[in-house]
Amino acid sequence: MSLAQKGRWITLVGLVLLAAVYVRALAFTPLERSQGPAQKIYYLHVPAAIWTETAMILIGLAGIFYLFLRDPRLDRFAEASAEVGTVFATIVLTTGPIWGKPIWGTWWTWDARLTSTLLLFFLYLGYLLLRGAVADPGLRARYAAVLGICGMCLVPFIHLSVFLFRTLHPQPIILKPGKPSLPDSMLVTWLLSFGVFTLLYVGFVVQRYALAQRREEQGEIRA
Amino acid sequence: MVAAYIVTAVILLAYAFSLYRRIGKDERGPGRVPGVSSDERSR
Amino acid sequence: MAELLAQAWTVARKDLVLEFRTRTALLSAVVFTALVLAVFEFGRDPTAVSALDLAPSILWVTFTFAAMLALNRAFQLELEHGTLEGLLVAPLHRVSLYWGKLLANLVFVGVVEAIGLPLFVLFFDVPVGPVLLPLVGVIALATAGFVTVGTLFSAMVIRTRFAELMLPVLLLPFLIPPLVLAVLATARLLAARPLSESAGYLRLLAAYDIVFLVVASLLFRHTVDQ
Repeated sequence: MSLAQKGRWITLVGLVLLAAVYVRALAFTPLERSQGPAQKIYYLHVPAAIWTETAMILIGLAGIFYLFLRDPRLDRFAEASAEVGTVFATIVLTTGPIWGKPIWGTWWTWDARLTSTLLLFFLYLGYLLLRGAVADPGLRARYAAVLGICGMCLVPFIHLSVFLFRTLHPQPIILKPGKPSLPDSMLVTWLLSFGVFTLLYVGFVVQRYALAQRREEQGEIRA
Repeated sequence: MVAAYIVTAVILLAYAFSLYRRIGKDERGPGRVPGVSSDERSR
Repeated sequence: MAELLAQAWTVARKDLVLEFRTRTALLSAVVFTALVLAVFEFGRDPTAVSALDLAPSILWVTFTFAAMLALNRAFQLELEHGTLEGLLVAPLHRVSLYWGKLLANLVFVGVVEAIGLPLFVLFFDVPVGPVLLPLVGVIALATAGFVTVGTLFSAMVIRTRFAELMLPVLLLPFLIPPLVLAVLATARLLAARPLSESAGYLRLLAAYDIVFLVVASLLFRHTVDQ
């Protein structure tokens, strides 16, 4: 089985399991006492946010190894992880406001998780733009590694500064951001969802990696 | 709130589909050198 | 180590001499800063919000723009004169090259800020006197944060397409944490809060500077070498 096909299978399994998680989360997981149905967004929102961040950290790590080893496979992985990370960031940034509007009465709020993800989203955009703006593959890989490493180092500072910034603003009354301590059935749902998002990340990255590989090969043939 | 679930699903499916199409397009690929088949290599 | 610093100083001095000989860049940066401050002054409704509430944000928006302007100017210089390419041929440590550029940028922004701060006090009549020293500390730390990363990225974007657009786009996420910390600290200082309340923010700013100074110093050679 080619790499792309393996990726497709993993993604397919992930999507099917996602449907199962949906059913479990919406129909079979109890409502949270104080927050009601709105709380259920955390089953999607939090795993997506975690992977948005992890994908960036992995890009940074790949960058470090690339600068030492100069292995193009590391750069290809970074390219893939960046695109997938952007997709997950989009999920966080769209589901946040959708759920926030009825609760807080406004589309956007400078909640810690949303703001951090917004900054990460700009990081991803910058990363993808940089990759698009450099023609030479070797130079592109090096520049991407530099930006990726800086991005990875930025992540903890984003968290800290956003957390400090957020405490200036009035706290949302109904919902407290952050993972509440969960009773068992909710915890299981959350863990399943996190597992599914992990699977989807892997499946997407494998496919995107295969795509990058294929493009390089075709480039060589044409040249 | 269910809207959020729908939007998430839409985004994931759209991306999965986009990958499917892009990889598929590369498999068929424009103007390849005759005698070199990427299909054989990938199978 | 001493050699690295000496080389860095040579690089910085060359850039600064170029700057201050013509003085147009410095002048336009100062004028721009004064303009931004004036716009803020006339753009706000003094009966609605007190100057003290807005002041930290105004100061930092202004200084962030000033830093961006300085980085852009240095970048334009590179494009016009190809100074970076010329320096690469010289027997210089890459780290010295980065430190030199960083120093030159810091001095430039520093001068602009040194003129901008009194203007700020003049326009907004905020009690800077008693907290001048810590305030200067905050300004120094945050500016160092902007310029450290900015200098690294400047070297990188020169060889990209849409180079002028790339610098602010890449830099934006990196400007936010020091900006937020600076505003928080400045607000506390101007409100005459005890210094201990700002100490945490200052520590984080210092941490940011140290982390990115080290990272940028290590990474710089990858942006210029083949």
